[in-house]
Amino acid sequence: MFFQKLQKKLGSITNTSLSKEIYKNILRNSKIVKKHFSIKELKNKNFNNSKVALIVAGGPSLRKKDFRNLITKNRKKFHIICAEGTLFYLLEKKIIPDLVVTLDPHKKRIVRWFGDKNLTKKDLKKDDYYRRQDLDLKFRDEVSTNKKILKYTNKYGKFLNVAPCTSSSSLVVKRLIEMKSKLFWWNPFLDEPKQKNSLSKKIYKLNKLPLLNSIGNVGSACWVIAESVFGFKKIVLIGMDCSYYIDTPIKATQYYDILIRTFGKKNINKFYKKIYNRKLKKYFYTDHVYYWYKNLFIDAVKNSYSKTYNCTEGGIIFEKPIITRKFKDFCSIELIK
Amino acid sequence: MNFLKGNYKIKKKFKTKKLSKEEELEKIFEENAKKRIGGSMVYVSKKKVNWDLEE
Repeated sequence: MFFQKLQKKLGSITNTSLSKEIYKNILRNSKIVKKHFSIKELKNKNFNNSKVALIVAGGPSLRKKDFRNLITKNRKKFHIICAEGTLFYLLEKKIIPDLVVTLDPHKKRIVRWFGDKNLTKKDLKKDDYYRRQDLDLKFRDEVSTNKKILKYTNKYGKFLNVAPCTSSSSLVVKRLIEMKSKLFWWNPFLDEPKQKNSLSKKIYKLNKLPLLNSIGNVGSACWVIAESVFGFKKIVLIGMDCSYYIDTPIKATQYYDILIRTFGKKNINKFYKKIYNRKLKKYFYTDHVYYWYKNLFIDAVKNSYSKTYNCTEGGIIFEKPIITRKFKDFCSIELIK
Repeated sequence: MNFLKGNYKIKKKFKTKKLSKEEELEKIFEENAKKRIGGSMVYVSKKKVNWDLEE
C-alpha cells in the first residue's frame, strides 16, 4: 500500500526538488547553445525507416548479457541512440553510437561517464556513488576506468553526436566541447507551457529550443528521441531494466543513500518491491522511482505508433504493447524482414 | 502573520491527529524528497515534444 501511495506523489515532487538546479544550468547553457545545433536538425532523419533504432540504456543487464558482438555484426542496420552511461561499454568495442543522450543536472557525477579530467581523491572520498552503483561495475574501479574513458572520448569524441539537455551541468558541457563532439541541444519539458508562470515557456523563450519530455530518465529520453524526433517505426531496447537483479545488495541500488539517510534501516524495505517477469520467468526487484519510471514509459509506448521491442533480457518492462524478444532472435528475424 | 510566536498561552486545547507509522513515514518521505529524490526530472504528460510552443 505504502509503495503504491508513493507513486502518486512522485510527479509533483521530482520537479520541485530539482527545478532550481535545472534552471541555473539552463540559464548558463542558453548563452552557448547558438554555437551548436538544435535537436530540430534531427527531425525525421530516419533513413525512410530502413534502419531500426537501437536504444542502449544503462541498466545492469547490459554487462551481464553482452550484446556487443551482435551489435557489431548488424551495425549498419541500426541507428544507435545511447544513454551517456553506456558510452564506455560501446567505445570499449569500438562501437560508435549515432547519438549520445545526456540530461541529468548533477554537478559532479555525470561528467564521469565522459571522463573527468580533474577527478581528485577528495571527489572520490566525498561521493561513493560509482563504488556503489550496479549500472556498470567497471566504473567501481574509479581511477582506472576514468583514465580509460578519457582516452576513448579524446580519441572518438570528434566522431560523436551528442544530444545534451540544457539542464546538463557545466562540467558535462565543458567536457563535450573539449571532446569536439557535435552537439544537438534540447530543453526539458518541465510543466505545461500553457500554465501561468510556466517554467517550460520561460526557458523556451530564452533559447528557442524544442521541449522534450524525457519521461524521467536518460534511457526513456533516448526512446522519446527515437520515436518523436527521428520518427523511427521500429525501436529496440537493450539495458532498459528499471530494476535490480535479485542478488544485488540493497546498498548498490540507486536511491539507497537518500533512503537510508532519511528513513533508516528499519523502514527502507518499504521502498522496494519484488516483481515477477512472466515473460522471462524470473524475479527482479525494483524501487519506488524505477517502478514509477517503468509505468510512465509503458504509458508513453501505449501512446505511440512505433513498435517497441524490449530485448533487454532482464528487468520489469514486459507489459503490452511492448514486445519481449531475445536480442539474438530480433537480429535474426526482425532485421531481415 | 504565522511567523510570530505568541508570548501568551491559550486556554483551549487543540487535538492533533495522530499519524500512523506509515503516514508519518510518508510525511518524512515527502519533505525529504522535495529537497532531492534522485537524479532525474519528470513531467507527466502524454505530449512527448513541443517544437515551438505553437503546437
